[in-house]
Amino acid sequence: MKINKARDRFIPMSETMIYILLSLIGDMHGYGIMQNVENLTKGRIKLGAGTVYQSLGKLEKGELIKCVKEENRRKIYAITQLGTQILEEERIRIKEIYDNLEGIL
Amino acid sequence: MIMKKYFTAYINVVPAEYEKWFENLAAEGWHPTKINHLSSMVMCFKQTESKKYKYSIELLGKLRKDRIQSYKDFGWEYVGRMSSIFVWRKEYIDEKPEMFTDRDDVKKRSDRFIIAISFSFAIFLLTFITTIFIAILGLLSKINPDWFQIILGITLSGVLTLFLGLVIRKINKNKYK
Repeated sequence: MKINKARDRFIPMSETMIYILLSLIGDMHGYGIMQNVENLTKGRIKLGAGTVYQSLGKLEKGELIKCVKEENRRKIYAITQLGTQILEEERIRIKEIYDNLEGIL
Repeated sequence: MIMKKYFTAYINVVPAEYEKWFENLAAEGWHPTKINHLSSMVMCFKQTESKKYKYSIELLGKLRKDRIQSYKDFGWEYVGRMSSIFVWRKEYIDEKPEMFTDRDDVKKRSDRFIIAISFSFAIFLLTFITTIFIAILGLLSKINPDWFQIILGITLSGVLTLFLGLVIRKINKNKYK
């Protein structure tokens, strides 16, 4: 049931959400996520503080991530099992798009 | 040198316009001395050195400490709040920073302003309709109501309803800004 609710709510996922979620395969706080995404995308995506904060709130509410630690008022998050499952489903969906596009273009 | 600005939040109703207004003043060296609950009506600015600031306006129910810390990590400085309107700024050199980099988040911010204003809009609209109804009843019946109060009520609620309606329309038109 939980997975169906998460699918309805999060799939298809925005690029921002995917990168935040995949950053949280390792424990990270908001600013660390922004740095990680900037590195992964070679500077193409520079997430704003408000966007990161709001996305983390949404992902936490949907139980895709959880707060694992709090250091100096700084919340540190990690992906949950549900989050990993949703991320994997997104990987398959995006791969399908990629494969279909590759055959045409 | 101190400068006072009046009803700034009512003049710059679109959040992005309000931010730009602050940024233009900062470029001229004018920075708010303090932002508090009365600042939407009177805001004091002190002229010092010119700064390249990106301002950000947000409507929030309450400000959680972890939000302040998170924004601080990104280099945003909390300037103050006017009721539920929170003001942040960040100094920059070349690339202008953005608080919201996702299109949906920008829209969500505009939607929050629209919802908050819609509540007052509904109250004034209801007052306007009620006073008109009382006026019609007064004209049709033999009771002689206080016409001064009725006309005053219709005028004030009408003007405020119209103003808030125009504000909602303007924010909605600029919801992705």
